[in-house]
Formats: sequence, structure tokens, C-alpha cells
Amino acid sequence: MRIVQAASRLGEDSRQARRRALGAAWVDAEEEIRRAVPPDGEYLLVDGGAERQGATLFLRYQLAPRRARFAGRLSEVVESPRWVASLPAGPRWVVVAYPGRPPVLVDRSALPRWLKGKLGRR
Amino acid sequence: MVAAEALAGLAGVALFAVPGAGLAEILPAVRALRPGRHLAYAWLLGVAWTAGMLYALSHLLAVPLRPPAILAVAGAPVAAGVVSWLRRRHLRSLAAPVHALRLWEWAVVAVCAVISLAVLCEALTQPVLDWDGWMTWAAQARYVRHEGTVDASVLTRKGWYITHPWYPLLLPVAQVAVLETTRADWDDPAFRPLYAAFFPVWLLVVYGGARELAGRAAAGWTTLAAALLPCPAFELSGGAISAYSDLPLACFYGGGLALLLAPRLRPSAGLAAGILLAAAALAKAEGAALAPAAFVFAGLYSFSRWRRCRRHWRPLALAALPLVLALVLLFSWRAGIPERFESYEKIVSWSLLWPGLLTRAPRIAARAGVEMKSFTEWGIFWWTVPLVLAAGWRGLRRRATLPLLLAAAAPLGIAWISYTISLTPEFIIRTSWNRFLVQASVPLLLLLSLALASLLRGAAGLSPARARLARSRLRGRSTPA
Repeated sequence: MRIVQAASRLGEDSRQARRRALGAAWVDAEEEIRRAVPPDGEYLLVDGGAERQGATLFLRYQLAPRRARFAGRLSEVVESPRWVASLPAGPRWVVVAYPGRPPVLVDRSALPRWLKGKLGRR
Repeated sequence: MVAAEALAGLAGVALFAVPGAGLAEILPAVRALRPGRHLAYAWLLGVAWTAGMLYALSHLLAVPLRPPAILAVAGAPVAAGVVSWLRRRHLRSLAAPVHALRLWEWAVVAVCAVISLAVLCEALTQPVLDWDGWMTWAAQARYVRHEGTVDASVLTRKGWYITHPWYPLLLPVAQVAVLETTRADWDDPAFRPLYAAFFPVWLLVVYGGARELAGRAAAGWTTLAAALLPCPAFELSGGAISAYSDLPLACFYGGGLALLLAPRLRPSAGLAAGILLAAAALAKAEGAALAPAAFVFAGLYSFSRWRRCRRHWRPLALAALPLVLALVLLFSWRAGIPERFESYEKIVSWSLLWPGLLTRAPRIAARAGVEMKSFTEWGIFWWTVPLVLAAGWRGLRRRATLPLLLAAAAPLGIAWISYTISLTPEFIIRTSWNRFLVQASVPLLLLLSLALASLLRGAAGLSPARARLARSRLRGRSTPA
């Protein structure tokens, strides 16, 4: 069956294979992040799910060699202004990884507003 | 898959196969192996040499992991192999005689080839979709490739989000070698066939070792059983379609051990086994324990034959040399990496070790049993193995049984200890037990082949003594008067 499947995928390049396997929306979101953060750049990575769901591990690999600093889990944010103030200095971009849906890119300066909207809905 | 990407992936396989062929040519004991086994060992030696040397050159001499260095490292054994071949081409070949395959053996070869092809197709058409590939092996490879060194800043400086930064980098370096040589894009999975190639190599290592120990028929049936196991081929968490390091570790560990258990151990076989065990030590964290363990088990086996063959110390010394060098490299590289074990401190507690080794054992065994009974991962393999071993116990009355048994038990022993000290044993067993079984697979399958050989003799109506008698009579008949 796998051989037949492979034959049916003749002509599909690795980009198309990624869109098929990961979903077009996911790949589009990831490409947007790649355009914003250069390969030798860095970003803050926030986990929008639970640890064992592995969303940050998956996204970190897809964005590598861009270097990530882990900023924590959205579910653990109690007071967003204090949490934002405690984030490591440096990276301009914050990337939020979700299990099963596309990642979100947030400019650090817009993070308090984004969090307010996000946590307000929680 | 488009042709260019498929070709890049296959070129990545050739990047290790060609220098491996050179090494197999200059090592007489490997050169003399039968074609299938020769091919498997050549591939393993190629990966061990190319990735191992690049690892050492990058760490010790700061050589950049770029095409000139990669091609030079891969080219050196090719040149040596060509010179060796040119020098001995007029001499009589010492290669093992090739026997024609019987019909049922062709059927086994066909099954193995189709499954290997299916694994390769999966590797060529799917991106990396497995947990450890994302978390460790393929992620580390991207960082190492970007900076061109195994001492990448994300590993050597604190603060970056990285998992298991102290895991050895042999396979990530092999990935980098493929990706750099083929000038692959970041998303191009050109390295995936490298992992897929370990599946037929694993089968050939099992077949070759089993044939040496148990004969053709038992080797054939054992290899067929191995080929039909879903887990080593298609399991996304550790099979050949993933980017996990467990199957490569199984090949290096089992392949090195099988070479050392040869009845007449030659110095070049010792050196080849040492290179494979060195690769085992650099392939995965537990490899640093398993490789020396395999060396000790094989050493005990050799010393038990001391009276017959007093020259065994030389091959063993040659086997020890690359292994010791690999361990020195590993510890030197790890010394520069902070936060080596902090990620584990959250999930393990050594205070649980005693009496947990005993008190937790029933729970661990029960959970491990659930994994082994999974039909989708193992079929009926673990139901039949105890039956075959019990029924064919006479076949296990061999000198090689003890080192094989110890070598099969070693990865499972590491698993038992790690589950005992784990704070989340259920989760860890569920995610790792099958992989420990894969690591133990080669010695385990060789034991199975010994038992199977006894059963096949029994089925043919021959006791071992009768079989020996029949063979000697046959020899007597064929001897000219």
C-alpha cells in the first residue's frame, strides 16, 4: 500500500508534501514566521497547549535553525503584565505554538494587547 | 516525490555506502563475508567512519562541516579501497563461496525487498513526522548544519530552548553530511532514506549472524520473522520510517557483537567490530553503556575459548581502540555542554532505585507486556518467541548463547532501571519500551535462530548427534578413496 501511495505522489515536491502532511494553513503560518525571523535570528516560544502535546517541540524543529527561548505556557499565565515583564530580554518576536492548529506570530510590543484579547476569552 | 529530491536522498545513501565499500575492501575479514552480509557491514562501516570522523574533526580540530571536509572524509577510504583492490586483483579471491538460493529463500528475499522498498517509499514521500525526530535528532542536525560545528552555540550556551543537548550527535552529523553534500533546502528531507536504509541492513545483519551460528534454514526463517515485524519497519516512534536513533543503534550494537562472536576472530574483524561499537557509543545515550557491555560479553566469550585460540587478545585490542577513542570524544564533547542532566532531574529520582528495582518490577513487567502484546506493533511475535525458545532449548546449548543472552538483556536492563527511577513510569514505558526491544533485537533474534535450528533439525527427524553423524558420513562419502 505504501508503495502504491508513493507512486501516486510522483511529482510532488517536499513543499507540497509538507502542505499535505501538515495542512496548508499550518505551512502558511510557519512561512510567515520564517519571513519575519531570519535563519540566524531568535524568538520567544510560548506553549499554547500542554507539555506532553509537544507543540513547541514540533514548531521549534520546523523553525530551526532559528533559535528559541522558551517563555512558558499560556495556561500558566495568571497576570499578563507581570508575565510579559518577566520575559527574557532580546528577541523581538514571540511565537505561540498550538497543538493541532497553526502557530501565531506576535510582535513583542503587541504582546500585552494580544494576551489581553486571548486571556479575556479564556 | 520529484526525481531530483529522490535522487538527492539516494545520493545521501551512497555517501556512506561508497566509503563503506572502501573500508570493507581494506578489512580482509569483512571482504571475505558473504555478499549480503558484506553489503550490510560496508554500509554500517561507512556511516560509522564518515559521521564519526566528521564528529571528531569538528569537535577536536574545529573543521567546518561543509562539503570539502565531508567529501575528503568520505573519499579517503574510497581511495584506500581502490588501491587495495588494484593490488590484489591478480590474486585469488578469498571471498566466501556464493551458494545458489533455493525457491523458499528467494521468497524470503522477495518479502524483505518489498518491505524495505515500502520503508524507502515512506521515507521519500513524507516529511519528518515523529516525536524524537522533531525533539532531538533532526532539530539538532539543523542547528549543527547552520553553524557548521558539533559545538553549536545552542548546545554549548545556556538559555536556548533545546531538549537533551548532551545526546550524542553521530546521526545528526550523518544528516548534516547528506544535506550539505546534496545542498538540500532546510525542508528537503534528503536525509530520510539514510534512516530507511538501516532496515534492510538490520535484516542482513540478522541473517548473516544467524547463518554463521545456526545455518541457512534457521537464518532464513528468523530473517523472515524479523522482516514481518511492524515495529522496526513502520513504527513512527522508533521504526525505520522515523528519524529515531534506535534502529541504527541496534545495527551498530548487534552488528559489532556478531562480528566479535566469530569462531576464528581475525584482527581485521576485531577492528571492524570496534568501529561499529564506537558508532554505537556515539549514536545514542545508552549506546555509551551498551557498546562497552558488548565488548565485555564478547571478551568473556573469547577468553572461554582461550585454550583453543590464544591469539584472540589482538583482535580484541583492535576492537577496544576505536571504542575507547569514541568514548573519549563523547566525554570531551559533553564537557562543553551545560545543563547536561537537568532535563532528566525533573522526571527521575535515584532515591526510587532501591527497593524499587524489586517492588516496581511487577508493575513495569505488566505495562511492558501490554506493549509487547500489541498486534499492530509486534503481531504475534512475542507470543511465539517463548514457545520457540522453550521448544528449541537444545539449540541454546552453545558457547555463544551466554554472550547473546547478556547482550539482549543489557538494553532491557537499562530500561528496567530507568523505569524504576522514573517519576512517570507508565508514560515512559509506553513511549520507550518498544525501542529498547529494537535495541536488543539482533542478539535476541540470533538466540531465536539457534532454537529454531534445533526445531528444524527435530522436524527433519535428526537429533544434533545424528545430524553431526550424518554430516561426517556425507563427508566420508565425498572423500575420494
